[in-house]
Amino acid sequence: MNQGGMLKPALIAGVLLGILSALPLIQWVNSCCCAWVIGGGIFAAYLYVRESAEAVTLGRGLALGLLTGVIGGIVSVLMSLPLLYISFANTKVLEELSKSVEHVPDLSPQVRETLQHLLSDPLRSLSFFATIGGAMVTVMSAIFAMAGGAIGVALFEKRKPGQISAETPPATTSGPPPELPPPPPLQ
Amino acid sequence: MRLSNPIFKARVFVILLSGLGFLMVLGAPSLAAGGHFFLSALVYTVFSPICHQMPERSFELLGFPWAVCHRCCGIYLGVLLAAVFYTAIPRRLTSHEMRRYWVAAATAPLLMDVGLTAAGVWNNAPLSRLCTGFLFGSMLSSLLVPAFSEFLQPWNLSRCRTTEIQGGAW
Repeated sequence: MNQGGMLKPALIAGVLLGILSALPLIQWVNSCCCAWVIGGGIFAAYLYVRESAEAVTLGRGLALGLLTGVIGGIVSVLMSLPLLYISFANTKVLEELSKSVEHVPDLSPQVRETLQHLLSDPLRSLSFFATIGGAMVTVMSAIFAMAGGAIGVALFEKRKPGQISAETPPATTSGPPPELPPPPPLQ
Repeated sequence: MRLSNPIFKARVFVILLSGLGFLMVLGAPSLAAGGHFFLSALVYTVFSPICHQMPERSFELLGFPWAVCHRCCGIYLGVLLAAVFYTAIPRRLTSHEMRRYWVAAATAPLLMDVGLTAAGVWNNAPLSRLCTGFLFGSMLSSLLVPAFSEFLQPWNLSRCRTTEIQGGAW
């Protein structure tokens, strides 16, 4: 498995999908069944198929998509942190959230108290919601990007399984090749 | 032996994953109808990053909207049912030569349904959203099952040859 070859396309596509998923307004495309995330998986597969000397299989596309989705999820969360911080630094927002927690009818008293304790401090709220939300976003990104990876391989891989591209240059070795016959004896 | 068949294991995995997702989609309105609003809100929140969840474009159960829209529901249903009836999918569709045409053919109706509605040419309906989503989901399942059958096997190191690429274009 050319795992080193998988990292670069996953990084490029993952960072791109993370940025697109975090930008305001543009991120709403993800509301159409994670279109940016699936697109990120497809793009990663395109880059990987283009550079891989060996035919890429659907399973490898799935693994590539998983890596792309995880990277994209992490980038998306990191890019959303400044906006989240601004929201949670606003005490009015926290007060409104705390009031709405009081009115949820089926919450146990312990859960209600825990939530209100979290919402009493901006940094604590930000850490909690960023961690939970970030984990959720990363898992969903990974799942949908896996689908994108499989779709991308199906679309772009034209070589048959096991086939090696003819354009791959042979590995260079030092010394004489072993197939050369021994020199004739001197007469 | 069926259990050792990698395709069978992959089908079971896809069925469990998509089945769990579909149960959650139905679970959100069921929980809300039962008065468990906090748990219901949690389930709706899980799906909120991946679906617009507009009530007018979602099915309803017990007076509450499903956790995803008609189209997403069609996709999850397509993935689930295609994995259940995987042996009924013509092998030719997922063959190496045909699969890119199968992907294009299954995706085009969905894109047209969305695109033509956005352009104001056509008003899509719950049935068109459900059916185009179902077709896309079926295609996805027909790719995911063989992909997972390879992915879930332990790595066979003799197959994974590292090929030196001289002067990479990155």
